[in-house]
Amino acid sequence: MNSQAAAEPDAAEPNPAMNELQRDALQEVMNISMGQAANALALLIDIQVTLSIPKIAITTPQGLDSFYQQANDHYFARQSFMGDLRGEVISMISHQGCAQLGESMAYEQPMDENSYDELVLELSNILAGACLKGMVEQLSTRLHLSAPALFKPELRQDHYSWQHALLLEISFTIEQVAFSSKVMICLDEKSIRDLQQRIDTLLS
Amino acid sequence: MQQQSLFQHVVTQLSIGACVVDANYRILFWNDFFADRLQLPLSAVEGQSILELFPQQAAFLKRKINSVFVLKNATYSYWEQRPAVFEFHSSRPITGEECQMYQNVEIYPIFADDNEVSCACITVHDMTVTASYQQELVRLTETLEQEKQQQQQLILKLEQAQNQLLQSEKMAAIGQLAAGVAHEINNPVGFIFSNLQSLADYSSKMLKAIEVLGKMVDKTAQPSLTNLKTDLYQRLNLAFLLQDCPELINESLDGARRVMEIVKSLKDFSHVDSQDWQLADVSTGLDSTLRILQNELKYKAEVIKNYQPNLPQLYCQAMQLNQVFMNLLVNAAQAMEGFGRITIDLYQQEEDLLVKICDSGKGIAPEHLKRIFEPFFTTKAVGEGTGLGLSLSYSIIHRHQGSLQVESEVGKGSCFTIRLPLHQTAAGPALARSL
Repeated sequence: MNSQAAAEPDAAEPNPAMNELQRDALQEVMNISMGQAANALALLIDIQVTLSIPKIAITTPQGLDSFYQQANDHYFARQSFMGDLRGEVISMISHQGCAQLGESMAYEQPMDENSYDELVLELSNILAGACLKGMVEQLSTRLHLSAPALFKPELRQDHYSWQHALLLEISFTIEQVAFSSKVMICLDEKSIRDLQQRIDTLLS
Repeated sequence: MQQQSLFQHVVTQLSIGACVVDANYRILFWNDFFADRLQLPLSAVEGQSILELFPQQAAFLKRKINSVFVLKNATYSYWEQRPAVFEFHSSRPITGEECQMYQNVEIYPIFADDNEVSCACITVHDMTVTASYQQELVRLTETLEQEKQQQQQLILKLEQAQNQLLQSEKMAAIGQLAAGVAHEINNPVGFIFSNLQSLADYSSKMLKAIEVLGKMVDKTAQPSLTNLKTDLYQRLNLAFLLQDCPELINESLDGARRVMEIVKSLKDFSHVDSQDWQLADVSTGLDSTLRILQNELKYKAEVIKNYQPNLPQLYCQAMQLNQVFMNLLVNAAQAMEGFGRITIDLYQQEEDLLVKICDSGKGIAPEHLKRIFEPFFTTKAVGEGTGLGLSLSYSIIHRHQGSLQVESEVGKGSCFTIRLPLHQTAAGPALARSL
């Protein structure tokens, strides 16, 4: 699956309050963080990991819906983080490739439903943890990532309490086993302002 | 109390398991949670490899601890996927059903000053209570689901039984009506028919007399007589009468005959028949019916017979069964569009004899399928057929304690399956009579 071609939320409008300079800075922060994340993963599983250029956009609840449509052939997990910034990391992990990853990560064979759940949770945790770690280091923020949990999009509620969130989206693929995943870091509205402050600090 | 010892007390007595290991999996510290459950104080295990103490999950622990040192991030394990990482006995040895503790485990890095990971801290949360509730809920849901399924099946059976009951009541009511009507009509139609036959005879004689007398008049060649004759014939339109009279009588005889056929069908349908019950070969009956229908079928379809050899004889009303076969075969032939195929399967299935008559005709529409066994139901034009054939067949089969079922697909064909039990109860015919 080419994650780049996945349906894009119709939320490509930049945050009106985030200016060009801030965006670029954030993009740079992301690029570095994600690079570190890909390296971390490769260290652990000893297979080449490719990542996309991180996308930054403002999203709405409907925008997230377009990702959930892929629930047929993807696992979903979510992890909350809090500290200087507040939000959740949603991971989307393709069914394809999980069997091989499980093997190379020395999971007990044969793998049953519980093993796959464990694998998805572990992969999400690794990816989310690595992505946030990079941001934490560069922006000198304090963030605590809590435990991941499996997430069934088909059971999600219809109404949300928020209108806008900042979505940082990165795709990780492992071509060798046709594995693809998306990590979506979502920051709530208040955190967008805090983030801007920190970027300003970085720029100065 | 000093800060240091304050923290030590807090951690030691925490109701969460805490165990710190270094990069070589050696235990640097563990709190009372671990010590109590394994009956091993810290002093006994300090410096030992945690992998040796828990060999069952050594591979798992090794992998997880490694990832913490390499990735420098926390990692987790949940009771749902992995009930117990550390083999502790259940915390509820008296009242609990479980033998082991259910655990959520978190392993997080502790950093040295140089931002490298100096050691990893393993925390264990006792999730036994939660797990127990969850599992009970799942069990309960499964039980409820099963009960729901069973109830649905029961409802279905009840619906079917109700439908069958309605159907047989309908048939019984119609049967009684038919019997009554048939009886009332029978006598008048009977004498109409025989009167008509007499009338045919008389009228032909009278007409003959007129003809002969006419010829006699002609022979006299006396104009006064012959003119009178011609005049009379013309006035009475005798030429037409001579031609039409026999036609009228024949048509009436046909009509009366048809009514008598209908009455006979109705009587057959509603009466318990005086036919004797006997042991007979169903295959013989099928074959003789096929012989009778030979001409009807030969231009309509290819007939394929699959008779299982050496079948036991069936205690039955042979004539009635043959009538059923005839009905089904005639229906099959009439359903053909162009030249088709009729397959007759005869075989034994456990304690039953099965006769399956399938055709490649035009099939029966789903909305009609429910009604085909209803008396007088027919899709044919008025005047063609009585609409009693299938209901009669159904009734005969039921008298044999059997069943008659149909499967059909429009455009593909229909399949009628007759199931006849080989061993009827002694009260069989008597019971059937009450149907």
